[in-house]
Order: sequence, then C-alpha cells, then structure tokens
Amino acid sequence: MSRRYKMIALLLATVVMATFLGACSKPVQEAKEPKVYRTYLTVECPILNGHDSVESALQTPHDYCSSPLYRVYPNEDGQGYHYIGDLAEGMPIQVDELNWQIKIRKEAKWHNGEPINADTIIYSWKMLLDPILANQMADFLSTGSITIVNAKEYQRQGTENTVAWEDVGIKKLDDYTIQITTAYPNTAEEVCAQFVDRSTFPVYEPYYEKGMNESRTQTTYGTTLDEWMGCGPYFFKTWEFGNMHVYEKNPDHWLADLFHYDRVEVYVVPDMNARVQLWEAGKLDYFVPDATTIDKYINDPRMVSYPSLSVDHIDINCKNPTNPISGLIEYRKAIYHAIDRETLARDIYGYMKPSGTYVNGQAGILSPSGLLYRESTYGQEVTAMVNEWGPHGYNPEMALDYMKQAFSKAGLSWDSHTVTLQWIYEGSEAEAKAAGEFLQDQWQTLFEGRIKLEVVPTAGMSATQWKKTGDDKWDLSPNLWTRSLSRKFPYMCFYYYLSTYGTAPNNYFDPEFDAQYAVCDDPAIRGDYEKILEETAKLEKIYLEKVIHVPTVQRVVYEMFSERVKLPVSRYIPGLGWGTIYGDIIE
Amino acid sequence: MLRYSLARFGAMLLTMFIIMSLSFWIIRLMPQSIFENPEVAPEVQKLLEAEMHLDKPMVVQYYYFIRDIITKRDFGRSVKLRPGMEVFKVIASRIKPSVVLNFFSLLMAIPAGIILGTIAALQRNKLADNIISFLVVIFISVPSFVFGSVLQYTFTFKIPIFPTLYDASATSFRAMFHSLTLPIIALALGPCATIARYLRGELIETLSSEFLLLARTKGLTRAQAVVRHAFRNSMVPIANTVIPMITGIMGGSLVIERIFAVPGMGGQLVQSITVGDHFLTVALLMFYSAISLVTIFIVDISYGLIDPRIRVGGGK
Repeated sequence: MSRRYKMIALLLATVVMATFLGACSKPVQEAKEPKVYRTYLTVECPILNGHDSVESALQTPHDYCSSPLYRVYPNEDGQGYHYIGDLAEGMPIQVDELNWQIKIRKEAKWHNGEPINADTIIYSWKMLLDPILANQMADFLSTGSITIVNAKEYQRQGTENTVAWEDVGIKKLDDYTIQITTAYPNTAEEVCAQFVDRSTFPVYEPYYEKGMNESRTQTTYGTTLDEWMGCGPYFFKTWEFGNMHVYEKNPDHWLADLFHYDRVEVYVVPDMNARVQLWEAGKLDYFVPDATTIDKYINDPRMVSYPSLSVDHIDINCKNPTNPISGLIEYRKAIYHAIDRETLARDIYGYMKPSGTYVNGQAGILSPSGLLYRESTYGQEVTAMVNEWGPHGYNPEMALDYMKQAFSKAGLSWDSHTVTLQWIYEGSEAEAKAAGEFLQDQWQTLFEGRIKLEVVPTAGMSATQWKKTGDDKWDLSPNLWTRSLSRKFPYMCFYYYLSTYGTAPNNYFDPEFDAQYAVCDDPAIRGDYEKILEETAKLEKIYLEKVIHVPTVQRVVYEMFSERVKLPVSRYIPGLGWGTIYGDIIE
Repeated sequence: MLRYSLARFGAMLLTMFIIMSLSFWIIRLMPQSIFENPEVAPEVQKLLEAEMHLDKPMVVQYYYFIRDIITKRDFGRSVKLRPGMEVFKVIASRIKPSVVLNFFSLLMAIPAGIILGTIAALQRNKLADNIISFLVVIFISVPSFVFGSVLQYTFTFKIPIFPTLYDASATSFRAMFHSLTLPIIALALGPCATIARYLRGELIETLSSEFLLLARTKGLTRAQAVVRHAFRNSMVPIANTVIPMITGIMGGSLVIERIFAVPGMGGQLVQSITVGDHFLTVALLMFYSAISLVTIFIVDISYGLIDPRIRVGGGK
C-alpha cells in the first residue's frame, strides 16, 4: 500500500476516533451557582410579546423577568394568598363604586434603568387594546375579573372609529397615578386579579414602536431578546430558543427580598422520556408525570395532586351528511351513556377522575366565598342526577335503548343496518387515540355490532381546524377546552359552546342553553354568588339534557418537587399554585 | 465537465422553481385562514389579509410571492409560530444546530461505514465479518430515535458522561459538541450501517473480478490491488446512497432533535403546517428541497472525480 493511501486510511480512522474520544471527555465545568432552581417548559414561547401570544408558556419568563401591577403572594401560614403591589404601590384605592386609582411605584424602572410611570402603563394597555393591532390577548384586559368600561368596544370596533380611546375607562391622573373605571362594582382583590396576567404587563415603547410595521397591524416586539425589555426581579440572561432560558436575579428590584433563587434555569424539553431522565438524574426540581409514567411515581411521597381546570369531553357533530342519525338527540344521549368513564379515567388517562358532568373541579374557587361549584348543594344535585343514570352517567342499557330509538327514528333497521362513526383526533395526541380505540372495542359489544367507530387522525392540522374545513364529515372528537374565568364564575366554562362564540369546536347550538347562559351572565346577579351557583346548575342540567357535548374525565394534575426546593405553601392553592417563584433552595 | 456542471446547475434551479411554485399552490389551497381569530373584528382580519395580498386571487398572490423573493429576497413573515418574525430569520435562528448535527452525523457515518464495510469484505465469512454484518442489520432495522433514547438512558443516566440535553448556551465548540455527541451517534448509526453493507457487497464482487486478478499478477500486493482498483470501483454506487442518506438524516433528526431538545429545524415543518403558518411552511419546504438538490448536484459532479473513466454528460 502506498504511503498516500496509508495516510488516507489513517485520516479516516482518526476522524472516527477523534469524534468519539473527543466527546467522551467532559468539558471544563463552570463553577456552580448557588441556589439554582431548575424547571422546564414542554413548549417554547414563540415570542415574548405578552400581547399577542396565547401560549401559556409565556407566563414563566414574564413572571420572573417582568413585573405586573400586582402579584399574588402566599400568606405567612402557607394556607392562602393575597395580592401585593409590584409596579403598583399598595392596593388599588377605591374612589367610588366604579372607579379605582392605582399608584405606580416611583422607583419602578426597566432593566436598562429607564423609569416606568403612568405613561408606560397607559401606552402598554392602549397597544394591547389597539383595534388594528388585533392582539390575541386583548380580552384579558378588557373583560376578566373586572370589566373595564368600553375597553372591549374599543378593541372590537375594527376600523369603524366609533369608540375613542378617551371613552375607555383607563385614564392617567398624574405621572404616577392611573384610574380604572369598571362596568360593575368590584372588590380591590378583583381589580388586582385583572393585572397579574402576562398580557397586562408593561411593554417597552421604543422597541414596540421600532418593530411596528407601516400600517401598524403588527410589531416584532419580543421576537428576540434584543427586541424585548424586562423590568422584573430577574434578568432574562439567555434565551436559547427551543432549548433553555436562564434568568438571573436582579438585586436592584424593589421586591428583590421576596425572591430567593439566584438563578433560574428553564429547559425546553418536549420529550417525556428526556424529562424523566432529567428528573431521575436529579437535574430538575419540578416534574409532571403523564399517563405513561404516572404508575412509577404514584406512590412517591414527593407526589402532589389536585383537580385541574379541564374536564375532557367529546364534541359531537350533529350535521354529518354521511351519518343518518347525526342530528338526533337519541343518538347523542346514547353516546353520553355509552362511556365507561371509570375505566377510561383509570386505564387510558392514568389516575384521572371520571366525570359525567362538565363544570370543573376548580370552578368557583376564586369566588368571594371560595365555595367550589361541585361541592355546593346545586352542583351536588346535578352530580346526583348523573349518578342516578349509572356510575358517572355510564349505563349500557340506556345507551343501547337510545341508540335503537335513534335507528328507528332515522328509518334504519337495527337488525340489518350499521352506522359508521368517525372519531377524529390530533395525530400527536396519544391519549385521544387510545380513548378512541378503547371506545371502538367497547362499543362493538355494547351496540351489538351496529355502531362501528373509526379512529382517524386529522391530517396535518388541529382537530378544531379540521372540523372547520366545511364538509362536516366527522362525528366525535375529544377535546379539553376550558376557561380559567370559571374559577370565579363557574358557568363560564360553557362559554365556548354558545352559538355566539365564533370558533366553537361544536356545531350543535341550543337556544334554551344560550338563554340560560345569558341569565347566568346577567350583571344583576354578578354580586350574588349563591344565585350564580343556582343558575349554573340549571345551565348544566340543560347541557346534560340536550347533550351539548359529552364530558368524560376530570383531569387531575400530578406534580413533583425535588427535596431541595422549599415551597412557601403547604398545599396547592388555585390562583397561586405552589408559589414556586417565591420558593427557596435548601441544599 | 464545465458545460455539464452548468447544465446540471441550471436544471437544479429549474427544479427548485417548480418545487417552490408547487409548494406555494398546495399550501395556499389548504382550507385554513391564516388570521382566523374570533376575537378580531372581521374588517381587521381583512386588513391583515390585504396587507399580505391574501385577499387577491391566487394567481396574483403567486405573482407577489415570486416578485418579493426575487426583488427583495423576502419570503414573508411568520404569522403563528413566531408572529411577526421574517421567515428567513426564523430558519436562520434554527439552522445552526441542525446543520452541525447532520454534518457531523455524516462525517462520522461515512468513514466509519467505509472502514467497517472494507473490513467485512476483506474478512468475508470470518468472525469480524459476522459481527459487522450482525451490527449492520441491527443498525439498519432499528430507528434512530430508539438508539437516541437508549444512548440517552445509558450515557446520561446510568453512566453519566454526557449531558441529557443539548447545551445551546455552551460558549465553546467543544462543550457544544460534547452535548451533541449522543444525537450525532444516534443519527449516524443507520447511515454508517447502510454504507458498510453496500461497500461490503460491492467490494466482494470486485475482489472476485478478473481485472483484480490481473492486477495481482502484475505484481501488486493485495492491499495495493484493493485500494487502487477494487476500492475505487466500489465507491461509485456508494456515492449514490449518500443522497437518500442526507435526506434520511434530515428526516430522522426531527425526532432526535426533540429527544435531545436540540433547537433545530426538526419539527418546524410539521408545526408550521399544523398551525397554518403558510409563509413559513413554504420557506421550510424550499429549504429542505434546496438541501436535497444541492446534494444531488454535488454527487452528480463527483462521479467523474471518484472514477475518471466516467465521462459525464455524454462526453468522450
């Protein structure tokens, strides 16, 4: 072999060996920072502009690196929470029944040292509500725990110019005072609650304007770290998109003493196995197991759980042209009673709670009395009604009977006809697929082979988008839409199923249901929580009688914290959570 | 050769244009509105659509699309995944880890595959050949993400010598490469096995050919005959396997990137289609097409370099 070829062979071998050996040795470790809290997001924040992204992951960088007017803060006994001013100095001052003044801290400033004042807040909110900018989060300011006068009308007017900014209930009184005018009487806590969401956090005007296009329909604010400005108790030090966030403590922040981590590392880990390995290796301080991993941790003493805001349900199409029983109430009732929710909750979703009702387990927690709707006499009455039908509404005999009635009404013979139903789900959702396959098997027996369920993934789009493609050729679709405002007003979880909601995931609307929702939503009963509970129960009964859709499983959140984290509360507190941001490291 | 290269380059540009046009039409005909949002007044939605020419007939939209690319090198802006960001910037921000991951996978796979294939052919039916052939079957039949998970479990948890996730904040190339080692190996195993399998087959056939016997009778040693004649002859079909290998690695990296939290291109295409971010989808399709076309172009040109007897383009 010539020397030349020997050299080539040697080079090839060297490349392979160098690749492996070079990588095996550990790089020089950086000195470990004290008090590092390590958590994760399963999806990356698409942008940092809180005005225009519905992605809930955005709340994490905003909570750490930006400042709202108010924050929720745990009580000393660890059993509840209260509001504290962040950008705001003290609690809102009530001027009269509908007007509130909020003082801005004089020491408040951006991370670049520029001052924050009333103009900052007014500009931020004006942009959030801008009718042309069409920010997706505008509703969080206009209508939430309080309703700001004319805010929604201003934002929704489009190009009509019928509502002037001056007519909106947000005013600057002086350089450090703003006044809010609400549509209904509220408490100070309700006013504070309106301003804890990321959408109401201040935006930095120079960058916001610099990123604005000519027609002022879009801004690039927050698309990169260079086009965003924070003002919070942590500096947003590194944003490795899709990989990691690093926040470092801002010792000059006016609330710096409340925050104990020196550094927060947020990994972006979409893969469950990777999260398990990080947790097992002690590289995460927080971990949420899913249905595939819950078995391993269910008896772990670090495990904590609480009911979530979501009740899984099945949307039913009533306009499928290829399904002869599609529009019949008997068909919908048959589906409602044909679901073995206990098995579904245990075997498919993994330690969730079966639910034949739709109002979620957190509904009402933020009401004045804190009484959960499900634990109220009204809510329990509905639960009892459902359990009379069978465990959580499951009753195979009723299901079969209703289905036979549907066949008869549609002119189909039970002995010779078969109806094929399409269960559509988003391809990436393993639980939705498994639930479909579970029902596919179960219904084959339950409906004596007369109902065939096809489990079909939606091709390249979300199930909601797929349902809107126009041909209506689908029958059933699992869903878990909910509304966080139901924590305060339980009836609001039904909001997305009204005929007035633009992109409702269903196509069955009922005038009686709409009318009862309007009763619940009447400003005249807003201050009467007992009345709201009573009317909500009526609404839920109509929902069940008409089978607007089919509830299946109350989601339960399972979470784990590492032993090195000391949390400020002893139990999960809706509205605050675990107060993780105020936690400490006790190594 | 120059004329052939220019002709191939021209064909590549034409193919690119056709792919670009097809992508545009197919994506834009999907039944989704980019600005669908019940919270936004319909006239504002119309305004937004007008700004991106989405209110015009498809042919006119296509004209604006081509015009903006040619005159402004503007592929539009992301609407859903990175709202407001130029799609070119979206791709640019994620291209580095993907390219590093894929480039080093190939850099590892090609020499390793050649070495293993050569050893297997020269040691035909002996222990070394049997071991290599067994590994080749495993590496080809098991998907890369399985290796990814196994490697991650073994070398980050059981024997923690590598980080679990890609370290995008690493300041040195060495540290970055250290965190990319496992995904690189996971991605390289399949292509490495493919090359080894092809090369073994080709070399065995060549080693038993008459011209090699002639080479030996002329006085060349076995090693000289293998390297100068057999090896070179066997490399031509190998070059052909590199094309599907590169596209395969790009496809395989979608899952590998997810497992190791590599903020690369993987998954962007699927996500952009799912949420209806049309401008980004078209740009990503063009990006992947460009990679494949450039690879094909390079391989076409390299035929003549690997084996001078091949005269491309009908040259004599």
